[in-house]
Amino acid sequence: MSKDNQNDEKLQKLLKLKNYETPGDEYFEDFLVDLKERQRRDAMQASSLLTLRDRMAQWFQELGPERWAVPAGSMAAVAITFFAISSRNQPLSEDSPIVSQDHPGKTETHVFELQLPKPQNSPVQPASTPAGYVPASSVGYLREL
Amino acid sequence: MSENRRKTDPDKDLVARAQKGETAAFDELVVKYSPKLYGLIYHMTSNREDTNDLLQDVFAKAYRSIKRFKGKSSFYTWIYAIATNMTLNFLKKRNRRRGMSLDDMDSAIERDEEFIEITSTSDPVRETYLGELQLKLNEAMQTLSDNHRAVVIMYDIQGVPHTEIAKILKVSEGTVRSRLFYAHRQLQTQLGEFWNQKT
Repeated sequence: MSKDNQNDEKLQKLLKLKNYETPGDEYFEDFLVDLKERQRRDAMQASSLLTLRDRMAQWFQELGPERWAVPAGSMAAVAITFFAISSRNQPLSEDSPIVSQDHPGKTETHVFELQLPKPQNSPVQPASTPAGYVPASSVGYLREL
Repeated sequence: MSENRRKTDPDKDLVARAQKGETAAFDELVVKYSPKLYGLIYHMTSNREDTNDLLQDVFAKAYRSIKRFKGKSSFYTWIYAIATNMTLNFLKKRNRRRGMSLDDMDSAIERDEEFIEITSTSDPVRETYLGELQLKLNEAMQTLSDNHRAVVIMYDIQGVPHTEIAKILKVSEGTVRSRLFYAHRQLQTQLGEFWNQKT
């Protein structure tokens, strides 16, 4: 037998001796106990997740026809919130009617004149009376305003 | 392992019961194969703590997957492949090589004929040699790549045939043989000086 083959045979015998590197029987008894404990923990975790899923599904079913309102209402609430936040954050545009053309960036307050129909029994207004002024002596529903 | 494949799988009944949910049947499989799988993982990692964690993971995965086991191979081949793949993946991910944490040699080694033949010295000297041998051999094994170490462990230490190793590692039989050849040369170079001094 060549030297290489002899060395190879010797090496293989040496490697086989590594089978004696072992932790002993007690280790494997404890190993089985630890494994079963881990399986129990895994099973409990899986069970609680399944229970949660089943309860959610049951609640959703029990809602009846109204169940479609839940996702629809949720989406509406989200959309409204989104638009409210985005419109609050938007700057005022130049085309806005309350933005003054003469003074950009400043807002003005406009008074809109009311063009009210004259009641039949209303007294004739003196010429000096400003348009739209309703005297206290007038009778009618308008005064009550 | 290949003999099991030709004949009926000796674990067929236990596997069938375990697949139906009988935990006692799975426990029997654990007791039967944990020493062999421990050896595989331990010799790959050379670390007791990593071996313990990985062995737990292997059996946990086997327990979750056993219903999908179709019986195309023996149960032992199936779980052996799981252990090999998980260990190789673990070694790839491990960023730094942890220090060796070795098991003691079983005292039965002193009565082993091969050991007596190799050492061929008196008992007190043999005991000293034992510790050095274990350390030196493990150091030499760690110099091999994960793939080379795997074939040495399966073939030389655990006696798995070339054909089974090829199926487990999903390589050709030629690749298994060439990896073994290269690994043996590497180990002989590492152990050469130590051998010449002691034997």
